[in-house]
Amino acid sequence: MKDDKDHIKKNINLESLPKKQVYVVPENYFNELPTIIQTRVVQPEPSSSPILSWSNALRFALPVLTLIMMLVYFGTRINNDDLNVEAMLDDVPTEELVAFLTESDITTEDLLSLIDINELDLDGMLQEDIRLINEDDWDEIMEEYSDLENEI
Amino acid sequence: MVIDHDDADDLVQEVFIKVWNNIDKFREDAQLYTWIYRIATNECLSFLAKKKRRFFLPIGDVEGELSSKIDHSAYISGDEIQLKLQKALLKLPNKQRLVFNMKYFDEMKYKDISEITDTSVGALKASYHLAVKKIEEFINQD
Repeated sequence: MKDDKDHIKKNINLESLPKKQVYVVPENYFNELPTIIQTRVVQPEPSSSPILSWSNALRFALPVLTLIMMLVYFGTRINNDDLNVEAMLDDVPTEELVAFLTESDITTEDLLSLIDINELDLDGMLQEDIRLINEDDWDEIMEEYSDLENEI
Repeated sequence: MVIDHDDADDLVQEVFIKVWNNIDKFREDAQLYTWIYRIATNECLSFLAKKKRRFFLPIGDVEGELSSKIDHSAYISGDEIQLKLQKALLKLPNKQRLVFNMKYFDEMKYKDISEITDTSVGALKASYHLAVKKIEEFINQD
């Protein structure tokens, strides 16, 4: 033990150290080794155990599954949010919406940019507008148009 | 190389099973022991690389784990300076440690190590001398 400490304190080099094997082999290890190997060679284990295959499959499948589940979750949530907004707007009376739009700084261009013209039922909207005009206003409008036509 | 007895046991068995299964591929232009050594070193380096990847650990942590095994394993026994030498070896990159073990402990010729590791004799000599320097520096610390 004293010698060991002296070795450490000195400026030692490897050549001066006695070579010793520190790894201990269990008793009969090398006697039993050929039998163990022969057994494994004669009865080969399945090349890949099902448990390992499953664990490997799970290792790769789990992140993919998680990603898919997140996409599905957020996708449906976004769609639900859209539906909720539409449902909420349905409950708001048209007059209040018109009042809000009049008061706000939103321009007609801004509104039009949010609408897909192709999806609009323009004929239906026109019919609805005509239905809302009372007879007196209608006559007035028609008179204006007839005046305009005469001027032209 | 792998420090732990159970890991070493697994590797020894794997090596001999590979030797058994591939003996027909053994070309007699090499010595049998060189061929077996080559399989063993490949298995060993692959095992250590897998160990590092499996735990997503940086080299330092694998070294720490193996160093702790040197202190606590029932199958390792030696005086203080010998254990310190084993810990110093863990500071080396795996391939350099392999070369050092073959030259220092197994007392192999550079020519044979060259055949096994597919590395030039010059590179092996340089690697070994660098390893000796690093180890001596570590042992003389404190």
